[in-house]
Amino acid sequence: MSIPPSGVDRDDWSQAQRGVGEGFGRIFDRHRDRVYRHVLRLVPVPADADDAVAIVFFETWRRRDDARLVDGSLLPWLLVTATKVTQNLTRSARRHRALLAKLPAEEHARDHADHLDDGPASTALRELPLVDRHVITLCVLEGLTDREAALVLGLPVGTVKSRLSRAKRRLAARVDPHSAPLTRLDEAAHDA
Amino acid sequence: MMPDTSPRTPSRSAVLRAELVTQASESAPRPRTVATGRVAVAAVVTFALAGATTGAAVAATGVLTPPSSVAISMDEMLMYSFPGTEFLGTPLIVTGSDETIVDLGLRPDDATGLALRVGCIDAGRYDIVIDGVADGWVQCTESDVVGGPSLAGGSSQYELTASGPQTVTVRGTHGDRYVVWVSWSQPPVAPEPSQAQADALADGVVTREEYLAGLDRYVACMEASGWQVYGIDREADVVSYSIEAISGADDLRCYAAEFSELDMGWQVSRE
Repeated sequence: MSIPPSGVDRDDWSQAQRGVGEGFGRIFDRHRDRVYRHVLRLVPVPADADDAVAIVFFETWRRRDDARLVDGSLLPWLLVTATKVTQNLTRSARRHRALLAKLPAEEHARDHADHLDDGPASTALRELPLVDRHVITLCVLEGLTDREAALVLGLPVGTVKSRLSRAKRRLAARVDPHSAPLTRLDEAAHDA
Repeated sequence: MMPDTSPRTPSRSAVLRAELVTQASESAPRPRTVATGRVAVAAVVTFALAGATTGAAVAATGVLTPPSSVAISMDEMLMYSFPGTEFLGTPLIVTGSDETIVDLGLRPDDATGLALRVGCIDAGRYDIVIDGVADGWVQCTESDVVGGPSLAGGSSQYELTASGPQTVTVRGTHGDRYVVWVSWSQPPVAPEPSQAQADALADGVVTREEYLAGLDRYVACMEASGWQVYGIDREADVVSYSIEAISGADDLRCYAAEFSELDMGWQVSRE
């Protein structure tokens, strides 16, 4: 499992909800780079990643009543929000355009083409349906257990398992159309 | 090549952070107000869950709004809501309205979970907050409570972490009343798959024969425990069946041992 230690965001999130804004600031400090790495995989143009990160945190606060912590961490919820936001970045940006307009541009725009590994796996991930992208992101890329992913997605564990199995097959078929289908033992290896 | 994951330009990141802090600060909950003409009952009441004693399944009841009778059967709680669970210490049962905070206090050493059930005395929505974080709600309509207080709402069992849970808060509105039941617990541990189920899973493929054999072992396990499994449709691609609601603990045990992995594997293969 690769989410932060238990309870790391719980106090800060609780404080933020009581109006102690610095609590949300600390959560931003803790997770912004992880969110950035995630959206880089999903945005069609790497230059959109900075706006996507901002929108993820704006959306997380706007929908704070719905947010779920997993073992005290907000990170899985941020990643789920990021996956949704990047589904339709233009629409997401429209809601927060006034806030985005406040943010200065990067002083030194990076040449993302030199840094981003936009290989067939990333392309295939972007082409998956949203539900598949959620479980691949959480269970495969971020290393959450099925139980943790189920908690943050609000689904039964069995549903997460079946969606993960289907998503792996679809992803494998896109990356390598001749790959062998996954078996239950492959999934069991993930669960272990 | 791996993505460049160096931090964003400080100025942009700093401005974004400041904006987020401002948003959170400006969204502080407003002070509770009491509308003119309403009776100002205590809006916030705190109760403590005793965790030191063990074995005594006796309810301690705190009553904020008295004119309603709430009957709670520990046996039914165990059968329907938390099958296979062992309750530790003394459960706390409290009726309340507006906001009630349960301070969980010291947990028994052998507790591994916290069992919580929130029911409706009046129709309404009752939000559940664990350690200050929203954790769902229970909602009842008039028809749910027409026959008296309803415990038909959801039940939850939380795993304990080093730091939590520490408090359970329930919030209602308009003076609507609810009942909170909370107890330290030991949730059941699912048994390992039986040898027969493990053998069937060994090659990574679940055949129709293995699926049905697992179903038969599950049914036999249930019947050996004194329960009937009804309406088994063996011709359906995914077999349907019904069990008695009160068979919860035995169902958990038999299903995990004989059928769960085969059932899941078969259903996944049919998608």
